[in-house]
Amino acid sequence: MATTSDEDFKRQGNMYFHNKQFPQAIECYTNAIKKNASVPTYYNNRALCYLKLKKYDNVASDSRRAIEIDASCVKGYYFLGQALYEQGKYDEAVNALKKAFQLARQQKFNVGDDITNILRMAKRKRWNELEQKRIRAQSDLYAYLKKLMFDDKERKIKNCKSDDSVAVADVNKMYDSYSDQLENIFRKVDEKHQKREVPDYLCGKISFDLMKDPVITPSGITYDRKDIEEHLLRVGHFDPVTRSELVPSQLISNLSMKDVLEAFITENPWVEGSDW
Amino acid sequence: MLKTSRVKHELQLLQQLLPQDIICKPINDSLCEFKASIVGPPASPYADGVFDIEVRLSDRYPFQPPLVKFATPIYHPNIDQSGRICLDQLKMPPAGCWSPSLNIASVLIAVKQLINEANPDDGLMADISAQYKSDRTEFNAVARQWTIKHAIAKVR
Repeated sequence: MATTSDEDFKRQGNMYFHNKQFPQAIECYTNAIKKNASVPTYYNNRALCYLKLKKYDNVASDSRRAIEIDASCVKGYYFLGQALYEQGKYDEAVNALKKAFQLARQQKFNVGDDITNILRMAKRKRWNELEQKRIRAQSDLYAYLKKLMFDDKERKIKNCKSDDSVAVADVNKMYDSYSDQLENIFRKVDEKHQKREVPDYLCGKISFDLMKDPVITPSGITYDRKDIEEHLLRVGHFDPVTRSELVPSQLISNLSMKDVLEAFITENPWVEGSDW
Repeated sequence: MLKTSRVKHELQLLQQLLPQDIICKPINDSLCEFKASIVGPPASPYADGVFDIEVRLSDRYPFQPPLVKFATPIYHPNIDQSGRICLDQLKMPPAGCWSPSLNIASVLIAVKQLINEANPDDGLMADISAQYKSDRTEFNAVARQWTIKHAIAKVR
């Protein structure tokens, strides 16, 4: 009897996978790996089985192995990203998924919106987590400063002569004033963080949304490329705002605006993955 | 996708841009249908009337103009019995001048303008247009009757 080759094991595994018999599929891929440990597909396929079984540690180690063998492996980064996301490691998940997205684009690998969707969710969760942490740290700091001031006031009052009511009143007054100022500063910081507005000048004149790929027309108006191209195709060959004649070849990437957008996103991470 | 974020933003624009005599609210959460009301301009035969208007956004909005129709009957050279409005901004180029840079608020403001200043040379209703040009007194009288009957009675 001829020995079963690694490719045979893979085919068997794929069949089990097709029938949703994941543990059996995993066994086949394991056999394939035993025969030949240098094929990334075996690890990727096994990772996908583990993903279905929600064994995320295994998904992560298999997809990491696949990436080690082939650093340009979209599926490896994609599965790794999903596993990290499920494990709540949003920062690492974002990095893996970004890599998957880049590779997929380079290789013109069509995965639809799957990668972008989970990447957006991971970014949102990561932001929420950071935001929670920041709020906690800030309120800790506030409580700490407030207590320092209070203790300082108590100490000063203790040092006052017992019959010197003027000095005690001064200490109290100073404490009240400082504590108001402190509260004010913290409130302002809160307000700044709670402001969730995208300025109009960063929004496309058609989508009313943060632009992704800004292009400028000869009239000097900037649009998001996708929207203005759709306008030229469906509505007519004119600039929507100024109504001067416009054809697709006249659109020029607005690189400065792109820099501005990127700077804004960096400073306001909440815009990514939110509908604001 | 484009439509949702755009229409959400337009809800804010409705608040910011609309004058007091125009209101416009979404009918449900789908954000595809809106009900607007325009108060007839003072010193016109439509004064004190409240004219209901339906606004519908197709899936292609804003690459297609909103569908805007009068629900309240109005006697006007540019509006027919079924409520259809003859207005450049509501038609696709090259015949019309819809552009995705326009929005629901700007269109409603244009409709209000049209109520006030009819355009009889581009009349949808030939008889009314002719009357508007040749016998304004009679036109005003009929328009007033319609307003009282359809647009004022119902608010009482």
